[in-house]
Amino acid sequence: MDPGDAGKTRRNTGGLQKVGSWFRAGAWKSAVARVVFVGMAWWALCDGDPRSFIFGVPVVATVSVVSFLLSPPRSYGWRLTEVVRFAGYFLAGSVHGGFDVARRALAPSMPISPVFVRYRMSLPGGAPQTVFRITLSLMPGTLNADVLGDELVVHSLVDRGEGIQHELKNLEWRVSRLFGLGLPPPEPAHA
Amino acid sequence: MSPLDFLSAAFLFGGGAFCLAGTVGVLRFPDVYCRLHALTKVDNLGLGLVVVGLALQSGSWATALKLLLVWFFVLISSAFTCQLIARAALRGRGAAPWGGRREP
Repeated sequence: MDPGDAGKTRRNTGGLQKVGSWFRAGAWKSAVARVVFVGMAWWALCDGDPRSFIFGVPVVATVSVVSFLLSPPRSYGWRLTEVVRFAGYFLAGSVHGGFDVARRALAPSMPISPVFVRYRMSLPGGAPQTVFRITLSLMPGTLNADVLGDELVVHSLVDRGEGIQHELKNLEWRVSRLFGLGLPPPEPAHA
Repeated sequence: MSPLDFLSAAFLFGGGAFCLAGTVGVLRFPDVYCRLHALTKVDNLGLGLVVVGLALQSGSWATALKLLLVWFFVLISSAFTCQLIARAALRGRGAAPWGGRREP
């Protein structure tokens, strides 16, 4: 059985987990990532002072366990390369978004044509939807205004018609790749 | 001044310029939803540039990482607050969106 199949099986039985089982067999990668993140945050907060580790190791352990209890690690098939690629895309998108809005705010003619659009998400609930909504709000021109079940109310600063839907589909596909979920890639833009 | 100082000054001035543009956007944009665009995107980019400029000056990896963490948490909290404000404006207050169009 290859790792992809294993992940799928675990996801499908996710609803049957007992309340007490906060650590699942396939979730070690998420668990390690959280411990590394908390450890690095402590290291940064204490300016890398080795004397702080006496206090830091128990704090990191406690925070990690509390985090596992509050939100059990899932077995998403994410890979570090995809995380780096998504971070690059996100950085480029937020720089572009910042420039775009700053230009519209400063231009004497203030070229905006705001519009609300609705978008039905095909990502599963939980972390993938949350990441999608956060990144969507920082991408050029779009802002997540409300969420009604699986449907998003998106405010766009510029009415670009079908272009908005296509952009959201593309972003959703990138988020699905980040989590190792197999959403179909969007068809190329017609614009 | 070393080249590093110039680079970090450029990032700091750039960040300040974007924060100013964000404020101009808040003052000029016609409704609450458009103003949120200025607050989230432009100010996040401004803060990001300031953080890079300061990290270049910090001279320590731990401090640079601390600054990056500050930016990361501000990104997340501003995305969430922006959504909460937009939802409150849509549902509770029923703030009417501005319906105009301004072509370039």
